[in-house]
Amino acid sequence: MPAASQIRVLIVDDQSSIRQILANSLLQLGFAHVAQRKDGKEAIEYLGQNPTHLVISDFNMPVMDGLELLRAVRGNPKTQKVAFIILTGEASRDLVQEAVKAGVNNFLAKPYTVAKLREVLEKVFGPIT
Amino acid sequence: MDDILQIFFQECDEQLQELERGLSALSDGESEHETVNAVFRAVHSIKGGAASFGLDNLVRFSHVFENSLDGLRSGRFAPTHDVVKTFLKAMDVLSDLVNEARGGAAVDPTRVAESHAELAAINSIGGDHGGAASAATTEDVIPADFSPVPIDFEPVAADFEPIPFDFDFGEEKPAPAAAALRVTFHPHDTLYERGDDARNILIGLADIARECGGEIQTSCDRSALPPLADLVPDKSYVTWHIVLPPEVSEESANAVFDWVSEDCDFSIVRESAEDEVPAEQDGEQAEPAETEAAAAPPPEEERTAEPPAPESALPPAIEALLPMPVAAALDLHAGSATTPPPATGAAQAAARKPEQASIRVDLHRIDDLMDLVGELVIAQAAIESLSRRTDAAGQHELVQSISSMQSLTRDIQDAVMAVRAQPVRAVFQRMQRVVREACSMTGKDIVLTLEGEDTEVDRTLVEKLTDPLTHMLRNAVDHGIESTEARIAAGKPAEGHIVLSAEHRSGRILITIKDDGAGINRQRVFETAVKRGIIPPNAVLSDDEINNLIFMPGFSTAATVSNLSGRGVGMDVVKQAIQSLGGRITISSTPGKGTTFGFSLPLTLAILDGMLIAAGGSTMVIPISSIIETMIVKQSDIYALPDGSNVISIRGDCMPLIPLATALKLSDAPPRDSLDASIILVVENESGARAALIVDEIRDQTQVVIKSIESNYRQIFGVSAATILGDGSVSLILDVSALVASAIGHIDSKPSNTRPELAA
Repeated sequence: MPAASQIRVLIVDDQSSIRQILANSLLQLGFAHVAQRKDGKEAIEYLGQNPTHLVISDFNMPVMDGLELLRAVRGNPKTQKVAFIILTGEASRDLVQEAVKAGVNNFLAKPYTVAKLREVLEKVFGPIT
Repeated sequence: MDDILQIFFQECDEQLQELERGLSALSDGESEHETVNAVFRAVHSIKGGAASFGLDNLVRFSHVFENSLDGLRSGRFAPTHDVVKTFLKAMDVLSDLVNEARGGAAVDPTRVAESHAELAAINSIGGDHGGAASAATTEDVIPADFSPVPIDFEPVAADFEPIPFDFDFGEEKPAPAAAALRVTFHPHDTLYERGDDARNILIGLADIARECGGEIQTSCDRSALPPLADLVPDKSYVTWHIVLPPEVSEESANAVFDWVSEDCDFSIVRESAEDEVPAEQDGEQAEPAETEAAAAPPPEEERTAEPPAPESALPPAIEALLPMPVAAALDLHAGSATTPPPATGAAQAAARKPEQASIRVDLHRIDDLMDLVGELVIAQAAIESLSRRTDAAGQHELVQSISSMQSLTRDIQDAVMAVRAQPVRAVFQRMQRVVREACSMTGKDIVLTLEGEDTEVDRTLVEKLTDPLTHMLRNAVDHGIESTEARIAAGKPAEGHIVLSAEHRSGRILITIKDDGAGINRQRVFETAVKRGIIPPNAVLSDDEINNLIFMPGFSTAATVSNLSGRGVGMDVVKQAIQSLGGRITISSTPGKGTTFGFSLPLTLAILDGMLIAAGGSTMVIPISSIIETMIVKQSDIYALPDGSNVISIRGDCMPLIPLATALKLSDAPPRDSLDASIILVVENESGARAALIVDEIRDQTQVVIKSIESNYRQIFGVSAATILGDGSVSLILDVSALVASAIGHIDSKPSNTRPELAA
């Protein structure tokens, strides 16, 4: 039963407005460590340097997409236990199966409410305080 | 939330640009997977964001659009001409919907429905996919049997160590063919004699390397350096070897040597990929700089506030004739009459977006600026401490410090300009739409090619170019390019072609609009001008002067007034707009082959190079760009006219002679009887008309910061702005165009003023 303020989150999305909304929502839930990166490559650079518990990533991004990021995270022993939540839209139906195979922890469907975000997170971390 | 919404709209603008770029590429026959992906991603991102903000109209439309693009992406259908055309149309609708969401004009629902239907029709090619997908909600995408995977949370261990990732970013690696550029540079003594410095070359090379996201590696060959005792300080002994990253082109490296090619030996060689670095390189082993995975900088776009309620000084009669959208948007010279709000088509209104005054700037440009400011602080401290010393050596050092301060100031100025610089891409791409719409109104088939979209100009210029360019392109579609039948009859391809290009040329930006239409019918232009009383029937005009007549107020040769352009006032307004930006317009036209318009504009509106002159006891500034030459006159070249004015013949060219002090009413004293040995400046206005200004003295050449007079006082004849000189005094910047125009007007009533035979 972790405290939200303990969980270190990395948001990965190429749209800064989406990142911003998500970051705001997380802060509302009491999260304190929220970093943002705009594609998979930058995310990997971040993950290499910073302890992280949770990655929330979009699917569709330039340079390196969410699925590739997920696979890279799972492929590295040091990060394979990092929780990974993928933001989905309805265009991502084929990718969802791939993500499940690659070991995604949960999905967050866009658009979402703060309550929904909490629910999605708690399915992964257990009750968040 | 509003802030985030603003970010979202800014992103939408970027996505729309990306979309436009991609679709243009597709319509040019490119079918790269990445292009299709980028197009898809653009619409997808807009939709995703719109959903988060609850912008339902936008979501609905982008959803259908996205579905159709997905069909293209998955190869269900090919990007045929018609498909791309439908997408382009949908893009226009999407852009209007974004604008609507932003609080702009509402979009005509029938347009949306029409485009919606077209997209759906495309999407049904190769099986019906649209219906099913659109019924799905995002929740349904997640399979029913998926259960979230819980994890055991472990707080971070104190001893976190960097985690190496081994991921192959395939396309990020430099292509094997790309090889470093090797430059060898040996300055001659003359380079130093001219006061130049080898350092400047190295800095220049470092700059272009940085622009490509890399760095240079330099090594210095000092083998020719004599022992200190034999060293002559102003001789050149050393040779540099510089390795530039592979992204740098030979041309750009060559350009660095433009000014010194006479004064040095240099060679620029592209290494073949396998080449080992030659062994004789002393110093560190130079190797091709690691390619920074610098993705192309994000498309920078800016939107800023439209000019406020336009004002116009044109007489009401002409005002009524103005093609509204253009006239209303152009910032005409201040006056009292306010143009009523334009009542135009929805598309027109929608094209004007409520905009934000923020820009995105490459971080390294800000860093450069910061570095320079740091140096400035140091230089200032040095000057302060030196200023307390009174000995001769201290004075000497002070002078040196001040001169280095000067060059720093110059650098900072450049750096700030670089921050403000924006590529013209945003404006240029908007023109695609202008041409598309104009084509559909006129039923012509025209391709607009853009060149040099990456050319950067000051942001204020970027904004102010939109309206003149819009009008020029409409004009090119409407009048420049013939109807399809006429083209075929003339043996030309049915599809018309317009090229819009931008380039930097000698410190100015040159924008050209070139069409392959019928060219200007000079006979008809001349006759019309006579009919309208613009020129006397017996005027003798050169081809160029006839071409320029189309910029006269109230001029039109179009037999019928179309609703697109061609009320004959617009070109005049375009000219005013360009002139107010300190620009010049040139025309060249070949009958049957086409017409080329050129806008030559200064890079910035804030600073100009001026000549400091004195007349009638005042010190004034004349923009260097309008000065052709300066000379001392001989009485024998001056011809008096019956009305008391004078003309001067300079190498066979006659031009009005204007005593500046009198023209500006600065001096009551009558002009001297003899003008012999007076100092004159030959100045030229935008249309190339010249006049000679008599001044008392030429004082200096300097850069001045332009301060508007109109916004603080009012417009004054012959004065375009003011500035503050080094000694703190205020000085006026002269409006050469107005002075020349009034002088020409002065003798305009006489026939044959433009090619007078007076000189003969």
